Amino acid sequence: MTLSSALNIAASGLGVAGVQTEVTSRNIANADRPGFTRKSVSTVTAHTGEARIGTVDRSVDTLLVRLERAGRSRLALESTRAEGIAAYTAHLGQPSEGFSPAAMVEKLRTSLVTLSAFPAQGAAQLQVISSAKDAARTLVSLTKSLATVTQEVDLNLRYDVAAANDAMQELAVLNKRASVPLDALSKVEVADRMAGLVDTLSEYMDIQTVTNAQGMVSVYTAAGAELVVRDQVFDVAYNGATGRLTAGSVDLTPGGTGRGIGGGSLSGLLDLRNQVLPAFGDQLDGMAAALLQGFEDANPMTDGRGLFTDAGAPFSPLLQAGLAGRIAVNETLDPDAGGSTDRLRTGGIAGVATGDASRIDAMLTAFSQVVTVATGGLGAGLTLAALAPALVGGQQAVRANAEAAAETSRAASETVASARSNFEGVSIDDEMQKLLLVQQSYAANAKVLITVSTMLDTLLAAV
Amino acid sequence: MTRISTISTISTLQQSMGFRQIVARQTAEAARLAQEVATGLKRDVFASNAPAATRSLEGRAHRAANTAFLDTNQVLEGRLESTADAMTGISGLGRAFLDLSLTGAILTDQGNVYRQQARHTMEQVVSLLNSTYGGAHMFSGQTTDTAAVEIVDAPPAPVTLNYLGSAVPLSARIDDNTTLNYGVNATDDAFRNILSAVSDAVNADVTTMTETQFATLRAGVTTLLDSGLQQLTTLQARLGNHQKVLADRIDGQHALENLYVREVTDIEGADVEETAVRLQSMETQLRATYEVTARMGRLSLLDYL
Repeated sequence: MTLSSALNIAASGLGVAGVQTEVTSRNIANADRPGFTRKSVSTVTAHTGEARIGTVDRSVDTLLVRLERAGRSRLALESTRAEGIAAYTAHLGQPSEGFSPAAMVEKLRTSLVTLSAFPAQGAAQLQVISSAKDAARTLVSLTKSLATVTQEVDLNLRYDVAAANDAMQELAVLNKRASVPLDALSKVEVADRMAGLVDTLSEYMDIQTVTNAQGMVSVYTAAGAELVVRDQVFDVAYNGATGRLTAGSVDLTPGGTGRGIGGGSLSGLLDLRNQVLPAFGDQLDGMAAALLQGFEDANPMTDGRGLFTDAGAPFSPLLQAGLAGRIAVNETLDPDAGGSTDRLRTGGIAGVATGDASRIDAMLTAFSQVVTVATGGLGAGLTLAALAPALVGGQQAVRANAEAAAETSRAASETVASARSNFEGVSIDDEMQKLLLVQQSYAANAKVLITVSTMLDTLLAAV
Repeated sequence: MTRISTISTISTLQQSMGFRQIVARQTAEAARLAQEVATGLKRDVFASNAPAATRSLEGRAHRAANTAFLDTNQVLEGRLESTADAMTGISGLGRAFLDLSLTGAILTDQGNVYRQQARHTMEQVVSLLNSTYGGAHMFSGQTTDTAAVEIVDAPPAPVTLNYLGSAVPLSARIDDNTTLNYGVNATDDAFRNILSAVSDAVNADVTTMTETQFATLRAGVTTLLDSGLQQLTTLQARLGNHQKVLADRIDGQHALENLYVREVTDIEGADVEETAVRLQSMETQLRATYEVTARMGRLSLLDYL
C-alpha cells in the first residue's frame, strides 16, 4: 500500500526530528561547559524509504586533540616550574628593592668602609654588626623560603599523583563500561567523559593514547610506560624520600634511568624538587660559606672564628650543606648576645690601639678576594663582592627564563586549544539554525501525515 | 564515533573565552605599563635583560661602596685640614719664639720674660698637639684615645714632656685599593725638637745667667728650634700632598658616583615617554576590544527568531 508506506515514512521523519531536537537541545544546554563535545545526528534511509537514526557523532579532530594535549602537558610543565621558582624569587626582589642578599652584603661593605675611618667608634661598630646580622638573617630567611617552597612542591606532587590516579581509575571503570553495548547517546557521553579524563591526565604527564574499536582508551606516557591498559591501572607513586616517581615498577622520574616523563605538572614539580630548588640552596650555602670563610681569614678572633659562624662553630667545608640556614653573627661581637663590638677592631687581643684599623681594612679587602668555596655553579673567579649580585641575578634569570618559556608555551597552547575548542564546541547560532531545519522537517512530515490521512479519508468516503 | 564536520563554526564558549583572554592580557600589559610610568623603573628588570640586571646589582654595590668611601673621605679631609691648621699654629708659635730668640731684643735681665714666653709656647704647642677631631686625638698616632703629650711639672725637678701617643701613624682606606698613611705624630722629630728647644728655655735658670750664658742658651734654642721648624715644614708639605691625593680621590669618587647612577638608571629605568605612548595605545586597544566584545555579544540569531 503506497499511502500506508507514506504514513510510515512521515512518522519516521517525525521520530528522527525528535532525536535531532534532543541532540540539539543537549548541545545548547551544555554549550558553556568546557570540554563538552558538540554532537550531531547522522540519518540513514531504510530500503522501505523510512528515515532512521544512523549514528550520534562527536565532533572531534584527533590530530588537534593530540596537539592540544601535548601543548597542555608542555604548558603545565613550564608554568608549574615558573610558578615554583617565582614563589621563591619573590623574596629576592628587584634591584631597587633593598632586601636581597646583594643589598645586604652591600650594606655590610659600606658599614665596614665607615668603620675603617672610625675603628673605635661604637656607633660605626654597631652598624657593622647590625648589617652583618641583616645579611645572616636574609640568608636564613631565604633558606626557610626555599624550604617552604620545597615542602609545597612535595605536597603538590602528592596531590597531583592522587588526582592522576583517580583519573586513571575512573578511566579504567569507563573502559569496562565501554566494553558492553550502550545506546548511541550514552556511548558518546562516555566517550566525552573519557576524553575529559585523558585531558586531565595530560596536565599531569605527557601521554599518548590508543583507542580500540570498542572505544576503550589505553594510556601510556610519551616514553611508553603503561598507565591504563583497558581496565588495568598502573598506579603512579611518589617517594618523598628519594624524589622518584614510578608507575607500577617503571621509573617515571625526569632525567632518571627509566622512562622519564617530559611534560605535565608532575614533571615540572619533580624538576623543581630534584634540580632547581636544590641548586638554589647550594648557591645560598655557597654565599654563606664565602662570608664565613672570607671574614674568618680576614679577621680571625682569638678562638679562630670570624664575623660569621656556623651556628656558633667555625667554618668547615665539610659542613657547607645547609649552611645558609645556620649562618649567624659571632656572638662575642654581638652586644645583644653579651658580646662586644670592639672585638671587630681588636680581634679579642688586648692592647690594640684605638686607631688601628688594620683588621677592619682586612675585612674590606675580603670583598675583593676571589671566593674559593663551592658556589653551586655561580661561576669561577668571583669575588665576595660580586658573588651576591651573581647569586641574585642568576636565580632571577632562571625565573625570568622559566616565565618566558611558560609564556611561549601558553601562546602556542592557546592557539591549538582555541582551534580544538572551536572544532569541538557548540555554536549556539549554528545549533539554532539546525533547529530551524529540524522544525521545518517536523512541520513538513506532520503536513504529509495530515495530507495522507485526508487522502485516506477521501478514499474511504468514496467507497 | 567521531566525524569531521564540513561546516567550520566558532564555538560560542570559545569566542567568549577568546575575548576574555585578550582583555586579560591587555589589562595585565596596561597595568605593567602604568606601573612603569608611575615609578620610572622597569617592572621586572631581570625579565627585561637578566645579564644587565646582574650588572645593575654590581653597579649598585659599587656605588654604595663609593658613596661610603666618599662620605668617610670628606670626614678625613676635614681631619687633615684640622691637622694642617694645628701644624700651622705650632709653626707660628715656634717661629715667634725663634724670632724672640734670634733678635736679641730681650736682655739678660728680662730672662724671666723669655722663660715665661717659652713656657707659654710650650703649653700652646702641647695644647695644639693634644687637639682632637671628632673625639679622636690627631697627633697620638693609632692611640687616638690618648693625649699625645703631657707636661710634667713637679718642682723642684725640671719641667719635662711625656709622650703618651703611639709612634705608629694613622692610616685610612680611601678606596678599595688605596691606603693613605696620613698620620702626623707628636713623636715626630719636628715636634720633639721644637718642644725640646722651648723646654731648654723653660728649664734654664735665667736669673743667674751672664749675658754670654744667656746668649749661648738662646743660640742653642735657636738651632734646635730652627731644625724643628724645618722638619715641621717638611711634615706640612707631606700633609699637603696627602690632602691633594685625598682631594683628587674625592673628585674621582664624585665622578664615579655619577657614572654608577647613570649605569643603574640606564638598566633599571623605563623610557617613560615611550611607555606612556604604549600605555595610551594599550588603552585604545582595550576600548576597541570591549566595543567588539559588546557588539559580537549582541549579534546573535536568537535576536531574529
